[in-house]
Amino acid sequence: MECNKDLANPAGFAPGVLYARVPVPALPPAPARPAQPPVFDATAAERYTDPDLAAIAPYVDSVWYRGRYPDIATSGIDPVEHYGTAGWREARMPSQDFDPAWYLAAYPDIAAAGIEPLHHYITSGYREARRPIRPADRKRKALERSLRDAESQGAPPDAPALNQLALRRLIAATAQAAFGFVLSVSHDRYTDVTGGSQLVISDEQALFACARFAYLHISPSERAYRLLPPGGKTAKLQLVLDGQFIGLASAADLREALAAEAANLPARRLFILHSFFGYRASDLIALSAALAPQRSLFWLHDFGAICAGYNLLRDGLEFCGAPPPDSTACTICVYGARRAEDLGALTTMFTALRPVVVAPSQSALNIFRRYSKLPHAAAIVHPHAVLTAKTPLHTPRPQIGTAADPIRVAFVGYPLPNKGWSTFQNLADELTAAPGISLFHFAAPETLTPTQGLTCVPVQATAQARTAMIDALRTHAIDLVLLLSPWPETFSFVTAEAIAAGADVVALACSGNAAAMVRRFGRGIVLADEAALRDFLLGGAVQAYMRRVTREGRQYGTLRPIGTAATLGVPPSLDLPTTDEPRLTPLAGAARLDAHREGWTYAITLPEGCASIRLLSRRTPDGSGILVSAIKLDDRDLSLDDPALGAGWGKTTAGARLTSGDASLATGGAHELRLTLRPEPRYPLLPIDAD
Amino acid sequence: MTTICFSSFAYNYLDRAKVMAKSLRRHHPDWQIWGVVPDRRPEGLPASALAPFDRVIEAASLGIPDFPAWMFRHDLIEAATAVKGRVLRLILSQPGVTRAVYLDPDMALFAPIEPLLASPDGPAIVLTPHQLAANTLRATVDENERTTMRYGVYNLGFLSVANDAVGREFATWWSDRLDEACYDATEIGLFTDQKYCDLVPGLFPRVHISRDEGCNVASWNLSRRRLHFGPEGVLFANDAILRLYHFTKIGHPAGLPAPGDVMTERYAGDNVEVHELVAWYKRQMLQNAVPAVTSHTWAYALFADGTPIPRAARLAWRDDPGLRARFPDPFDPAFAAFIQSPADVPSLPESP
Repeated sequence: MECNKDLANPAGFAPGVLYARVPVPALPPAPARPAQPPVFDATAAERYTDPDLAAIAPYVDSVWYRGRYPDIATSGIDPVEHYGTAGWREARMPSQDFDPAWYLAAYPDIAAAGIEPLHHYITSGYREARRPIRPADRKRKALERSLRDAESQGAPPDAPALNQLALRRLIAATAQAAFGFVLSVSHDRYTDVTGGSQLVISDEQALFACARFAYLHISPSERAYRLLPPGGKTAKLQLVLDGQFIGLASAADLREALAAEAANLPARRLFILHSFFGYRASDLIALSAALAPQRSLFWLHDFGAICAGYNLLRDGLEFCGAPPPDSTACTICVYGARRAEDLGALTTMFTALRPVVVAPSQSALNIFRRYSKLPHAAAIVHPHAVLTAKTPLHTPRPQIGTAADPIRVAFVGYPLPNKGWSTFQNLADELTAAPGISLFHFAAPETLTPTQGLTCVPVQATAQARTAMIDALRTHAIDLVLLLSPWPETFSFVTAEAIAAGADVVALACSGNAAAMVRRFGRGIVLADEAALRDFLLGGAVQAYMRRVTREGRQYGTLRPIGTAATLGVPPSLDLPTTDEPRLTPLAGAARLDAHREGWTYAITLPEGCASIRLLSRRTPDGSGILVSAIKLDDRDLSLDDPALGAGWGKTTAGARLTSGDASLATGGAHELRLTLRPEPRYPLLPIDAD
Repeated sequence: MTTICFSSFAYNYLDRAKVMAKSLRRHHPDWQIWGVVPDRRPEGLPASALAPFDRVIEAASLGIPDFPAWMFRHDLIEAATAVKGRVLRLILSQPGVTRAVYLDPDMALFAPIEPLLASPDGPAIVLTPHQLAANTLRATVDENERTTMRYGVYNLGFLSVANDAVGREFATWWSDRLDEACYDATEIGLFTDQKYCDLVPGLFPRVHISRDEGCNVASWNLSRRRLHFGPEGVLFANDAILRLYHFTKIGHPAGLPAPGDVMTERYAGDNVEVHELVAWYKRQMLQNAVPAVTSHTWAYALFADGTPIPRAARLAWRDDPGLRARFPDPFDPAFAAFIQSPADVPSLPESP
C-alpha cells in the first residue's frame, strides 16, 4: 500500500471513505465553509464601549494573539484593544485567519482609505469576495519553509576534540570490555533530539547494551538534510558512546583509529546506517571498510535513499510519487537537482556497503522497491514496535457527538507541514465551532500555539518516558486522533500510540503505514483526501461513526517498542526471548580469563600478580548484571560487603548482591576465584548474540 | 533542416536569458540559439556568461542606418523589440534554415515546443493569443481582455516563422514597420512589435493561431488556466502539457516584488503549483546570475555625460524635427541640458 490510490470506495460507504472500521453511510457533504469570518468569542463585543473595538472583538483570537506576541502577554494589554489601536499598523495578525498587512497590500483602495483592515473585512470585505489572507497561505508557508536552508545544529560549545590517538585509546578500552561493537550513523545527536528515529536509536543502543555491545553513534556537528557532494566540506562528527556524548572528531581520524584497532575489536560488529544526511558517501564507505562489519544495515526511516526530499513531497508540499528525475516535477522541485546529483554517490555507497535494507513497515519497503534501484544484500520488514489490543471496555455513551458529550479529536505531534498540520489548521476553526467536537493538540510544549477553542496538552515521549503520549491521550480520553501526513509515513509512532491509548485514527490515504495500521488493526477510518476528511468531520458522519464505535467499547492496547537492529530476527511479539545465561567474562587488565563452570559456580584461575579483575556480563534492560551469592578467593570466603568489592556492585538482597554488568573485585594476589550466582536475572537474547 | 531560436535582451536580463536558453537546449538540443542584444557589452563580461548561446549579435551590427539616433528614439523595451524584425530576416537568409522561432528571455520550456511550430509544409506563421478563454469577472475582463485589446491580441514573446515565401514576406513587412515605429504609443494604435501582429492573420495566408493552453502561460492568462501535476511528474496547464511559461516581469529574488509578482499573486491565487514554478524561476535567476552585469545600466540609457535620459526627451526628439536638426547627436549633453531647462540654452536663430 503506497498512497492507497488503488483502494476503492467500499460499496455503501460514503464517497471518499476508503476503509472504515464500521460502515460509514453516505451522508450529504459537509456544508460549504461559511463566507462569514470565523468568530472566536461571540460575546466579546459587550466588553468594549468603543464601537470600532466592539465590532472587531469577536473576530480577534485573544488566546492566539497573546501566544503569538509574547510582549502583549507580558504587558497585560488587552489583545483587542492592542490590535485595534496599534497592532494592525505593526502588521500583527488578530488571528491565524486574517493578515492585515497582506489585505492592505492586496487591496490598495483600503490602504488608501486608511481603514483598519479587519473592520473593513468583517463589515463589507467578505461580502465583496475579498480574501482575508494570502490564498493558500499555509501551503505557501510550507513552500517557503522548504526553500530555506536547513538549520544547523551545532555541537555543544565546550565539546572536547578527540584526535586520532585519543580515539584509539577510547576504542581499545571500549573493545576489551565489549562482546560486540556497533557503529551507528545518523543525521543528528539522538540523545538530544526528540523524534521517532531518534527514539529507535535510543532503544537500539539500550538493547545492545544488554548484550554488552559497545554502541558508538556518530552524527555531523552541522546538520544537513542531504548527502554531501563528493568534494563538499564536512563538519566534525559528534561521537556518542553507549548513550554518552564524548566529543568531536573528524571522519578521517575515526576511520584511522578504527582501522588501527580493528584487530582488537570483538568479532561481532555491525555497521548501522540510520541516515546518511550530512555525510559524504566516501567517508561512510571508508568508515565501514575500517570497521569491517559482519553485517551492514540500512534503516528505511524515510525515503532519503530515493530523493533528498526524503518525504517525497514535491517542494515540501505534495506526495510526488518519485517521478523520473528529468520530469518537470523534479526539474522545478527544490530537491530535484540534488536528486540527480546524489544518485551516483548513493549507488557507489550501496554497492560498497551492500546493506540489508530494514524497513519498519511493508508499505515503506514497497515504496523503496518500487522507486529505488540501489543495490543491497536483502530487504526485510522489521516494525519498530509491537502493538496488542486488550479486551474492550464497555462504557455507554448514548449522547456522543453532542454538546453534552463531545467527540474528543486530537492532532498529535509536531505542527509541521509534513505531519499535516496545515490540513488540520484549514479545518480547525470550523471544528472548534462545531458543538459536538472538542479539539486538542498534544505535542512538545515549545511547539504548542494555543488558539481559541483548541486545548493544548504539553507532552513529550522520550527514551525515559516512552508511554508519555499514550498516557496523555488516555488521560484526556481522546476518541479520535487525526493522522494527516501528506506522505507515506514509514512507521508512525503516533498511530500506534493512539491505538494503544484506545483512540481510533482518522488517516488520510497518503499517510503510508499510518493508514496501513488503521486497516490492519481495524481501528479507524481511511479517507481519500482533505475534502473527504472535511465531509466526514463536519457533515455528520463522524457522529454516526462514533455511535457505532462506542457500542463496541473502548479498546486499549499495549505498545512495546522493540523493533531495532538489536532485535532483527525476533518474531514480532510483546516479549523478547530471554536467557538466564549471563555470559560471565572475567577480565584481568586486557586479558579475558577462562572460567570453569559447574552449575552456577564459576572457578576462575587468576594470573600471577593479578591485583584486581572486572566481572563482565550481560545486563537486563534495567541495568542489572549478575546476582552473586558467594565469593571465594582461594580458601577465603568473602562477605558480600567486603571492601574488595569495588565499583559496579549494587544492592544486596536476600543474601545475594547484584552487579551492573561490569564490577571490579580486588583479588589481592589470590590464585583462584570461585563465584556462585543465582540464576534469577533474565537477559534479552538478541539473535546476533545467540551462541 | 535547421531551426534557429532567437531572443532579444539587454545585458541586465542575461540571467533570465540564460535560464531560457538552458531550458530550450534541454528540450531541443539540435536547435541553434541566438541572442540579440540592443546594448553594449559591459567590461569584464566573461565569454562563459554567453555560453548558452551559439551566437550573440549586438544591435549596432544589424546595419540600421544612423544607428545611435535610431536607438535614442527607443526606450529599452522598444529597442529590444524593434530589433526582432531585422534579426528574423537575417535568420531566414541563412543557408539551410527552415524555421525561426522567437522566445522572450523571461520564458522557460518545460516540454518540447515542436508541436506548436511553423513548418514550410504547414503553417507559415504561428502566433499565441494572450487569452484563450473568456474572462468572467468584471476585474479580469478589464485587466486581461481590455489590456490585451490595447497592447495586442497575440503575445510576441513567442513567434514561429517558416523559411518559405510567406514567412519571408512577413519578415520583410514586420521588419520595415519596426524600423519605422516600434513604439509604446497605444494612443495612436502602436505597441512595440506586438500590436502590428494583430494584422497578421488578415495580411498573410497560412497563419496558425495556437490554442494550446500549455503554451505561453503567464500571469495574464492564469485567471483561466490552472497548473497541476499529473502522473510521472508532468505539469499540466488545464488539460494541456505545460510547454512554455512566460515569467513576465517577475522580480529578482533579491529585490522588491515587481509587477509580475503582483499579477501572479492576484491571479494564481491558491494554485500553489504556480508559486512553486515562480520559486523555481527565482532560484534559477540566482544560479545563473552574472556578477559582471548585476549593476549593469543599459548602454543607451544615459546621455554622453552620464545623465539618465528621461522618456520625455526621447519622445520630444523623435517627434520634433526642429529638435533633431538642432541636436543631431541626441546623446549630446547639450541636449540633456536643454531638456532639463530649455530657457537656459541659447536658442538657434530662426530658420529663414
